[in-house]
Amino acid sequence: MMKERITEIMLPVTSVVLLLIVWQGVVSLHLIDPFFLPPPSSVVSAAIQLSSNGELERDILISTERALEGYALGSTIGIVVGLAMGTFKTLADIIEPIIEYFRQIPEVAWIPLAILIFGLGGKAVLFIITYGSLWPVLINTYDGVKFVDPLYKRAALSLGADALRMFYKVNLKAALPRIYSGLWISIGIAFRSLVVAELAVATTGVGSGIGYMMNFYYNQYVRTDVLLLGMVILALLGFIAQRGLSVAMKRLLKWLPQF
Amino acid sequence: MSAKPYNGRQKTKIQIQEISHEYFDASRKATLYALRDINITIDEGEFTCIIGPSGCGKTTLLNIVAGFIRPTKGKVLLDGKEIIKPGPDRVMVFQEHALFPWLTVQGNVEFGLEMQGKPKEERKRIAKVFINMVGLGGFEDRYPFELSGGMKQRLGLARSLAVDPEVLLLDEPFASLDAQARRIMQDELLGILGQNRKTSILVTHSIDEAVYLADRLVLLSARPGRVLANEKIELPKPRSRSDVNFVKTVEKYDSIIRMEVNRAEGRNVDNQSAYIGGSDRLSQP
Amino acid sequence: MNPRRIWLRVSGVLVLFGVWWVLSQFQIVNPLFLPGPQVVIASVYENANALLSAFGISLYRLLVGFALGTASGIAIGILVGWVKTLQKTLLPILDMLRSIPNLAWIPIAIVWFGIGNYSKFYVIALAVFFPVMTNAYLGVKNIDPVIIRAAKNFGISTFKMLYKVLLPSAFGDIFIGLKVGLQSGIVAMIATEVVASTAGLGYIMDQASSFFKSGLVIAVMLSIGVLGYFLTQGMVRLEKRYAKWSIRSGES
Repeated sequence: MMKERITEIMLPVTSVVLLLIVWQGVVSLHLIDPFFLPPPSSVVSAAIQLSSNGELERDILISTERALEGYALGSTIGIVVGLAMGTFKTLADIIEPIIEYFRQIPEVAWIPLAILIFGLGGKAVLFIITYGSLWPVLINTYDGVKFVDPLYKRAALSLGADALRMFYKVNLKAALPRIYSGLWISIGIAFRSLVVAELAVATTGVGSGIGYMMNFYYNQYVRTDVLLLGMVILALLGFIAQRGLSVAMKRLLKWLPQF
Repeated sequence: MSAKPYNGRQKTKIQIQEISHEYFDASRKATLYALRDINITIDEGEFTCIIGPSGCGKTTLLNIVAGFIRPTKGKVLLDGKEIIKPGPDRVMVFQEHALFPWLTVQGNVEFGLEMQGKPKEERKRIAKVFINMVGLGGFEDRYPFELSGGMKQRLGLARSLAVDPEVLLLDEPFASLDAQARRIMQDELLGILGQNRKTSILVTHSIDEAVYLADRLVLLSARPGRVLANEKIELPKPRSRSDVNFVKTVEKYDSIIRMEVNRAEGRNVDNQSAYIGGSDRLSQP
Repeated sequence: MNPRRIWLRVSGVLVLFGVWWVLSQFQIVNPLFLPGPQVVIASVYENANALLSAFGISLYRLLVGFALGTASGIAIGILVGWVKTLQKTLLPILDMLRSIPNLAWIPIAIVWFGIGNYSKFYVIALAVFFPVMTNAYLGVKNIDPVIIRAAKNFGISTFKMLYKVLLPSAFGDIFIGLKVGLQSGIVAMIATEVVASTAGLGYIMDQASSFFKSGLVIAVMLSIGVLGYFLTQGMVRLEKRYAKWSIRSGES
């Protein structure tokens, strides 16, 4: 049993380590220009270099703050509206066509307008992240409440539940897995909106955050290793955020087999 | 140890009066009758089983009694009062058990009690009684996904009984169990109800099950469902499947249903034929 | 759908338009930020040619990227789903790559392919690849083993197995992946054009924004919405025609 678990973890780890070695080797042996594909070593050294004066930490902090703020704001709006729509059919009928259309306009399409309205700064980025985060949450919450198995409703009615109790003791609980789904997807969207918004703002010369860092160091010093550094950091942040969500929701969702 | 058969002077609990129900069938773009002119009287403490060929409307009838469906014609009276919506006085045990997956065993059983406004301590106490009664003692903190099919069914039963309903409704509760588990559950059900003498209506496909459990057996025809038979089963309980009278009763209903299925498949849908009536009908109370 | 519902749905849209018109007409919101419907429509007329060609360019990039991403996604997804060793070795690497936000690849893509179309193809294909691959992989992994046994019973070669059994069985899941991939692809398309491009819809928005022509920006945004809507509907139609037997309710 133990042996199985060890191999389960070792195999993926080994492949990743192998990949890193091959990657490093291919560049060190000058088979590929380190400009095009910075090896792990230069990514690490870039990290060390940029954190020596606190620059890296600062950019990471700024970006993370934005991402979290936007995510929290967007998710909250999404859940509130989604719940409202799922509960009040009339509201849903009125709003649904609008939502069906607007969800097709991706958050990145708002960037030029957002920059126009909010200027070249964190506000524009925050807006984009909020806008991007709210759609998956809204739609999944709405679907979650809308598609509660009518059997549960019947059982609750049979046992004497009234409308209000029905809502928060049955509909809400039954919709939780779907809401969680939306929240999970939204994390990925939040980070992708973050990087694009920051990049877009950065191309005008000003800005802050990881996207700006990537753009700046490439534009000024042609540092492709910083580009990769940025990518790695974003991936890590996203991963941590998703783990965090999973842990946070675990208590509410422990009745699901997969927990 | 056998229970006494009924005498005729029991209190009337449920009256199903002139129930007809139509519905719109989208695939055939026509209005069909699920049930026609159903009249049944059920006495207090009686265990009634409703059987019939597939599509005869027995589940629809049960849902009407439960209050999930308003019939297009007729009404159902419980203790003289008309039934218009679902409620804990007529709790349903579902075929797909409909257990709340986010609640533990304890939570599920307490649910109805919570709706009744009972305080926490009392809820816990009552729930424990019923959890033990169905044999799930020790599993209070488990979630439904951790239970086996039989255990889920028992949980559904406990949850429904805990609210002390006037009537217990069961929609093919054992259909998803294997043959052995089914028999065990039937005996357990009798054991549990034996202590309570609750008025119950059970819908099933299995004639064997119906004859085993029922004090009163109602047979519905093929769609549109009409009452073909409605008679008391006077065999003493607990019943033995090898008992001669048991076997005869099962055979009798089996052949009626077969004839009914044949007839239904041979005739055309809107023929309100004169077949119903006369010698094919069994004794009516 | 009954008349009441239709009326409700229409009224929502009408109210939205009404509010928009009022806000802009009475300058409640800065007309720079929210120009009125008339301004937007005027922008469309004035720039009709540029818009049309931009549409063409963007759509072209989307389709090429989509095709590349789908083909590679299905191929690799099925392979990884079927071959257990690949699952254990390749999948973790793919998962890692997947956690890098698609759009974070934009700068490096420009380094590799320059600012022209190829960088766009790459990023769009990448955005499409991941959902398609993941769904194809899951679709194959979750095939009822009984079906595989039945197929083997009839003596089927491995290659035939791939496209006569695995592919059709996983089709439903693959379609879900395609739908998600399309959305991701559209996002990637716009993102690459907004950040670094010399042509296309995103580029027009970027330019219009710097010249404060918000009417044009909004016009493009709205038409992107229309584009997305029609493409998605097209997908749904395709699914109904070719995969009707395996439609399940997916997640957004």
